[in-house]
Amino acid sequence: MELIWGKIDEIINWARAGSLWPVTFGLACCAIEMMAAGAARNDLDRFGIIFRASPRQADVLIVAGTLTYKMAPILRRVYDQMSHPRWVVAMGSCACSGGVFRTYSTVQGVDQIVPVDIYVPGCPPRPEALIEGLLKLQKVIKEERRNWGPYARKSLI
Amino acid sequence: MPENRLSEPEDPFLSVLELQMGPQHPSTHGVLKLHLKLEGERIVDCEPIVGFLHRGLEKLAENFTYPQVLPLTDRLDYISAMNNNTGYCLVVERLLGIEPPPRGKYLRTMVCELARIASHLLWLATHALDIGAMTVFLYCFREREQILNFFEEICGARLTVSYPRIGGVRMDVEEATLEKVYNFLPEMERRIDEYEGLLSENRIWLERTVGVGVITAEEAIAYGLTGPSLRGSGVPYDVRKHFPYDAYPEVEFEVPVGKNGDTYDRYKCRLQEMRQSIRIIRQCIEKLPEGEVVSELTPDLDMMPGGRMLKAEAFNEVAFISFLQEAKEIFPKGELYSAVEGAKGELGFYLVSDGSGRPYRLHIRAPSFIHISAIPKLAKDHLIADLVAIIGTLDIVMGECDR
Amino acid sequence: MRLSPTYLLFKDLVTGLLITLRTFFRKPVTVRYPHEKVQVFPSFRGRHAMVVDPETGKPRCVACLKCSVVCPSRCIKIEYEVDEKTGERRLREYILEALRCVYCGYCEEVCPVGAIVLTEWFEYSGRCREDLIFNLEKLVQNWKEHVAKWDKEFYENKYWVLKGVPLKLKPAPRRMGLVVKIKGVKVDG
Repeated sequence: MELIWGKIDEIINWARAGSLWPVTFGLACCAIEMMAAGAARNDLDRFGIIFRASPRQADVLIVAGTLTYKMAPILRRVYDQMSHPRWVVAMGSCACSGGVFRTYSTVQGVDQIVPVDIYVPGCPPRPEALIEGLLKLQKVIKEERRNWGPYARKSLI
Repeated sequence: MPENRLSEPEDPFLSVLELQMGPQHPSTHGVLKLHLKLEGERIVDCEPIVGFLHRGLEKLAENFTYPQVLPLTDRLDYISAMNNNTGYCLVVERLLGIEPPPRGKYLRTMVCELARIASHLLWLATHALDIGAMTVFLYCFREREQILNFFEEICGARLTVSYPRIGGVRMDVEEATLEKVYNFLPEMERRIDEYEGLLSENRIWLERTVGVGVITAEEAIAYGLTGPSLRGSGVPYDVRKHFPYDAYPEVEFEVPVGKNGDTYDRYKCRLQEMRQSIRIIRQCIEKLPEGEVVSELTPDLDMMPGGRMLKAEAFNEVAFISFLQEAKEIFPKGELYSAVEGAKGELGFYLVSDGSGRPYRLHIRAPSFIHISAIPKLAKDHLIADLVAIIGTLDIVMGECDR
Repeated sequence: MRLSPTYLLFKDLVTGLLITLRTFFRKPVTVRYPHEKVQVFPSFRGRHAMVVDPETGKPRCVACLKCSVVCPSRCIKIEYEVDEKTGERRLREYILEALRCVYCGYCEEVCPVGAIVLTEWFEYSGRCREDLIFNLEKLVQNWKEHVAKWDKEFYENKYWVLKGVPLKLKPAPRRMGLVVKIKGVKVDG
C-alpha cells in the first residue's frame, strides 16, 4: 500500500515540478532580470516555466524587488488568489530581507507577509541564479509527500 | 439610500464606470496604479496613483556618506544605472571642485551611452510586447544581454553597476573589452535596422501608434517633459548639447527630433537616438586618451577626502578628532543642482551640503515622475488598449518615480 | 495609405517575415544553463568568501573594521579581541548577512590586506534565511569551495588592485599588487 501511495506521490510531484507557472510580480530591479531569464538567452520555457499574468493560473509567486508597506496588502491578496498548491520564491536582497533599504517604508523581508520557500540572494541575482533557485524549488517539490487530494485539504485547515 | 433604489436603473453604456488598473498589472511597467473613469471603453478621466515603490531613498541618502550614496543611485532607474551614477558623481564633483581626468571622462561617456542603448532596447521590448509584438521582445533582449555582458566584463555586475565614481570611474577597462565593444557596434546597427524592418512599416504597429497620445510642443514643455518624450514633439532640448558634461562637448552627435508628437514619432526618435549613441561610443573608443581614470583629489571610500591616509602617529584620540575636523572643513557648504541626460529624460540631482561628510538633503528630479503627470492628458478620449501604448511610450520606471 | 500598392501587396508583413526567417537560420543564443557552463567574467561580484592564508591556514582578516564602516547596507559585523601586550587585534568572529548585501564591492575595495572577497560564484540560493548568514567558518568554507574550482595558479581580483587608479588612492600594502597563490604554499604580496 505504501508503495502505491509513494508512486502516486512521485507522479504528482513530477507533473507539478515540470510545469511551474510563475505569476509575474515584478516590483523593481529584479523584475528586469526576471524578464531576462524568460527571454532569449536563458530560456525559462525549457523547464516548463511560463510566465502568467494572472495569479489564478499560477503555482509560483516570484517576488522580485523591494516590497513596501503600501504594496504589502496587494502581495498578500495576489498570494491568497493563487490556487493550491503554491510556492513563493523571494528574489533579490530587497525581497529577502529589505536589503540596503532599512527605512520606514520598506518591508524587511517578504517572509513577514507570505511564507517563502526559496531565497535567491543577489542584488539583483543573475538570471542563471534565478534559474538555479527555481531548479532547487523543483527539487523541493519532488521531495513532497502526500500533498494532494484529501491530504492537502487537511493541511489547509 | 431609498431614493436611489426607486429611480430607474441607468444605462451601463452611458454611466461612468470606475476601474482600478494596477498596481499588479503586467503592462504598467512596475507598480503604477491608474484610477480610470470609463464611458464604455473610452477613457474620460485618468488619475495616476504613485508611491507603491517608495523606499525612502532620499531620506536614506542623508544618513550615508557621499561614496555610500552611489550604490543607492543604481536602484533609481535600474535600467540605465550608469547614467544615474554619473549624474550623482557630477553633482558631488561640482561640490568638491574635482575634475575627472580625460580618460575617466571618456570612459564614463562610453558606458553612459551603452546604458542608454540598453535602456532603449528594454523600452522597445516591453513597448512592443504590450502592443503585441513578441518577436521584438526576444530580439531586443538578445542584444541587451550582450551589452550587459560588457558591463559585467568592465565592472563585475550586470544591472547595478556602481562603476562611475566621484572623480572618474572605478577602474580602467581592458583593451580586449574595448575591442569587443567596438566590434559589437556595426552588429548593433544592423540589429536596429532589423527592428525597424519589423515595426516601422508594420500595419498593426502603425494602427496602434500613429495618432495615439498626441502632445504638442507647447504642452509638452508646460508639462515638463524631457528626453525623447519631449523631442518627439519637435523640441530639440538635450542636456548633452545644452549643458554638456563629461566628454560630450568633444564628440559629434545629432539630436533627433520628431514632428507630430505622437507615439510613433517618439518611437522613431528613440531608434534614431540609439544610432547616435553608437556613433558616440565609436568616437569615444577612437579618441580614448591614455592616463589615469580617477582624479587624485577623489574622496576615499571611507571618506578621507583627497585620498589621504590616516598616518600611524594619528592613532591617538586627540589627533584623530582633529583629523576628522580638518576633514570636515574640506567639504564646502552650499546648494547645487546638476543634471544629466538620462535614458528617460533630464535626470537632475539637487544637493544641499552643510559641510559634513554626508548630504544634508538630496533631491532627485526624476523624469519618470514628471512623465506620469502627463498620462491623464495623453490618455484622454482614448481606449484602454491605447492606454497601454501610452504608458509604454513615456518609458516609465517606477523605481525612479517613487524613489 | 490603405490604397497604396505596398499596402495592398503586404510589403510590410513580407519584410518582417523575411527578417524572422533569416534569424531562424542563425546560431541560437540560448545557453542551456544547468548543462552548459555559463561564462562568468573575472571579478563578478558574487558570493562572499574569506581569503585564507595558504601558509598559515588562518583567515587573512586583521579586524581593521574598514569594511563594516564602508558598507552601505551595514551587513558586516566583526568581533575581535585586543592583545594587551602588543596591541594587536585578533579576529574572533566575522558575520556577514548575504541577504542584506547589495554587492557593491566596497568592502573588497577598501580591505587593506585583501581578506574579504566577492567570488565569481552565484549559485547559492537557500531554503531559509539562516542559510545565507555567513559566519567566519562558512566564509572560509566558501573560499575553499571557490579555490577547489579555480584552475589557475594565482587568484587575483580586479577590486584588490584597481587598474588605472593613482597610487595615492590605494592603501599602502596593495600598491605592489596582491595575489593569492593557490597551487603550492608560497604567498605573494
